Amino acid sequence: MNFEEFKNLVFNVAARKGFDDCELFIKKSTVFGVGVSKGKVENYSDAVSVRISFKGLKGDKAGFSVSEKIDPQSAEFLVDSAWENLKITDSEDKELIYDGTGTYKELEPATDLFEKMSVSEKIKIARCIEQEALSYDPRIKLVMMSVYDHEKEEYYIFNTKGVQKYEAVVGGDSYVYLVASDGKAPKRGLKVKILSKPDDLDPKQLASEAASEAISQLGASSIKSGKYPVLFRRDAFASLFSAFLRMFSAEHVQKGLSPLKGKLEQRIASEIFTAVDDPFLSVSPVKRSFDDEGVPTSKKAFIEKGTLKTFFHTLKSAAKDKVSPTGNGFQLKGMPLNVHILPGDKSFDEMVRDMKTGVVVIAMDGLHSGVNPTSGDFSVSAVGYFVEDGAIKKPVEQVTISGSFLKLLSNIVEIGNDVSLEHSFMDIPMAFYTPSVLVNEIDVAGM
Amino acid sequence: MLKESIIKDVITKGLKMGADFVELFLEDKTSTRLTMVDGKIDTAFSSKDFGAGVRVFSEDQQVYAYTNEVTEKSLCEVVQRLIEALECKPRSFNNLDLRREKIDSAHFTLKLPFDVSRSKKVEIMRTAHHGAKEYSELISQVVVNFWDYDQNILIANSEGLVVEDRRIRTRLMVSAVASKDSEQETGFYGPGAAMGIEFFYQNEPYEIGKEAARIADRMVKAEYAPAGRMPVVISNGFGGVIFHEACGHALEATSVAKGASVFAGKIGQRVASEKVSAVDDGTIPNAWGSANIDDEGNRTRRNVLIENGILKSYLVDKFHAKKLGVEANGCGRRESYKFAPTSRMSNTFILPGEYLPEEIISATDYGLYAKRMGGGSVHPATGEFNFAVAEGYIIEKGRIVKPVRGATLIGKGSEVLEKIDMVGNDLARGQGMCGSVSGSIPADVGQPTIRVSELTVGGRNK
Repeated sequence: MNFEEFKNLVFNVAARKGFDDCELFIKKSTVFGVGVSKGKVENYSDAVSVRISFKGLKGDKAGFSVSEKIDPQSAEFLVDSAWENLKITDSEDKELIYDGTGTYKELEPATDLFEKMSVSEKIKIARCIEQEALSYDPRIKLVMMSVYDHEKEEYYIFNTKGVQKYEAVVGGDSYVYLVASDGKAPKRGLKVKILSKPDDLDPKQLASEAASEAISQLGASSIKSGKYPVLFRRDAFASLFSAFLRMFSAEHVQKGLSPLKGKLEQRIASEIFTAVDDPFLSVSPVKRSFDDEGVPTSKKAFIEKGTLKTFFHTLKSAAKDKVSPTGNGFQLKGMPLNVHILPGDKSFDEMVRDMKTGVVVIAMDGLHSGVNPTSGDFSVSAVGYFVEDGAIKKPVEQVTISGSFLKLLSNIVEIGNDVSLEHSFMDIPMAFYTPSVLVNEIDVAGM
Repeated sequence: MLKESIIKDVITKGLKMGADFVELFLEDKTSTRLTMVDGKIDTAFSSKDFGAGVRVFSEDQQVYAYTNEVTEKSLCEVVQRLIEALECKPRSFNNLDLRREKIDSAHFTLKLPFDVSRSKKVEIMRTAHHGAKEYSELISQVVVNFWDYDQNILIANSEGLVVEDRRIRTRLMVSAVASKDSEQETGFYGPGAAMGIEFFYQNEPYEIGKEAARIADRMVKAEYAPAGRMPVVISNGFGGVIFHEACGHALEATSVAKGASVFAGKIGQRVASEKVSAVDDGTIPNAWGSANIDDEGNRTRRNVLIENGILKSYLVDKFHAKKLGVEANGCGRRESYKFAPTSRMSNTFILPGEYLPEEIISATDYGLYAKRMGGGSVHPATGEFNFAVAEGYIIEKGRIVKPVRGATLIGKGSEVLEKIDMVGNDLARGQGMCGSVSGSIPADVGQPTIRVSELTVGGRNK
């Protein structure tokens, strides 16, 4: 049974059941990944899977269901369980199905270059990265994992209001996670490279960046607790920002789960700070012309020169706020696709010089537990460097940084020109295109 | 779930193509997720996950693939692709003798999730909502999530094993938001078990909601935690996340076999204060992290990890057992058919000691009392861990004096185990989801109240 036949079957069953309108959103994922350690393949994944989401509408209410099977029993399961789910739903928020009247941007077809590479070629790249890392310096003792991944996600949407669309997103990533040791405390190095096409990867460069970072951390120590200027390296800033993205979701704002309630058109960040949601960002492999509800996506600044301009809307939250949908209905939440922080004009080194005494943060841990998008507070562990007299003096470990994320955004004093594509901490396909940022004061706990 | 002849054909194909080991994992899982916001059902979801995973070893390499097209043709293609990736040499193989193992479940379930109406589940959620809402007028929002599932699995491998198991789990999660002036704080409580809705016979939904609200209400009135190093008393139950992060992950064979763990090569050596004994026990009836068999088909066990400070055992899965030259000990777990299994924790906890919890607090001159912990994470290679304190207090002169919020605890695993200087007698467990290479899985953490003589507390400076 193909998707078209399955859709017809489900829509017939749904109409019989009594739904007014319904929609099928199908995600077909084709994933490949290989992880190598000590030259041996340890992690390897090669798979095709399908996930079918059903939404059925009756009046203002909706019922939802998901199946990974395509057969007549699954059609019954989808419709029957959504119907039962709809019956218990008593939220007053109006549910909708999109009518397809917006204008969709035309995207270029996704690349097939990853699929054309042979398996042995990909294993070779993963082994090559490991070798390059180990030969970089004798203090690189172990490569925990050297990985080459790529994925094709195909999205199909059909609904009874006439929307029928398809598009594919293809991207890859490669990372190496290694350990350096000088006989004392071991230090880790992790570098991730997001790939729009296979050519974007330079295995030697990836390996040497991870290796040099781990070595630069050897001999790290804590610092005295206090308030310091903090320079977030671009990848660290991407991680922290992504962990707070939920606060920009309109549904969370409406439900009183975000500190941004009532702050539209107000200043929430430093006036040098602009953040854009760009679903068509040329450097990112993740580009979409419609969201998971079939709504056209759009490029927009959500923070412009420090002012909050919009939340990320689903159909439901847009209707509740009486605004046009923004095309951010991904996985039933209002989320951006690519966050582009507009660069400033300082180089990373100039910012180190400008901060005089302070901390450079290159990585954080505990973002899933130490970040609270409802209160807006964070308290997470960090590693990086201590800066004195405008120069990096020593590696730093065993410190935490704490504060309010909105205060942090307001306290941004310089933005770098070192913008690059960084991965998000969130477990959804999205990317950050961001420079490093300097914040004038953050609480650091150490000794 | 799948005809034995198909299982036989698929595995035999792999062996003939030259694999050392072939394993099939089939999963058919039905789950329900209900979300109640402000007392009203906001979204209700049912899902059916269905698919098969195939794992192949050749010499010391491991490959994995999955599909949700569970047919002989599709599974044979998957095996073929995997073995081509490993470049194995074909060999002759005659007959695979499959033996079906019978499981008598140790985790009795009274009511299966799909035999209970949704409205009954909604009623439980509504009671929890009221428990939270009625606790204090500062509670501005309550989100209640109900999650249950019925997972049926089949595992078959080239050693001839065929075994099926069924896992039922039920969990209620309440997040409460308290608002005061312009500030908001959250409280979370989410108990669950490997059983059906009868879980709530003993765990009052009203009390679950109230507990989440109590934390939010207490924290919104609290000042920020201080920054710096100090003694930390960690309460029982979910406080055990400290052992889970600081030590448990580094005992998983995934890290140990590579020599990437700080505990590699230390069996029989002292790795913790002699007051510390800890176990991982996947057999506890109906516990959140329990199962009859692991996801490689081995019986779950009670594994003593540390006894009086001496390292006794690692958590070992099949692939790494060979590398370490030891037996797999029933801890190969995975989130779903989309993941290859690896060594993971189930219900992991520090065993009780001699002190009453109040004796530990009264013996502490100054420090932090972590009454409720949030989640955490660790780098097993360096031992660096962190976790969030969801509800904290300052101890002064042996007494709890004031609540504090926003604290994080960080340290290094090997150091913190040495610094556990008091262990209470009030062992309890708490439920969480543990995320790692083989996905997100239900796991219990646990401990009695303990004291760590010094930890870095991440907070704010005066």
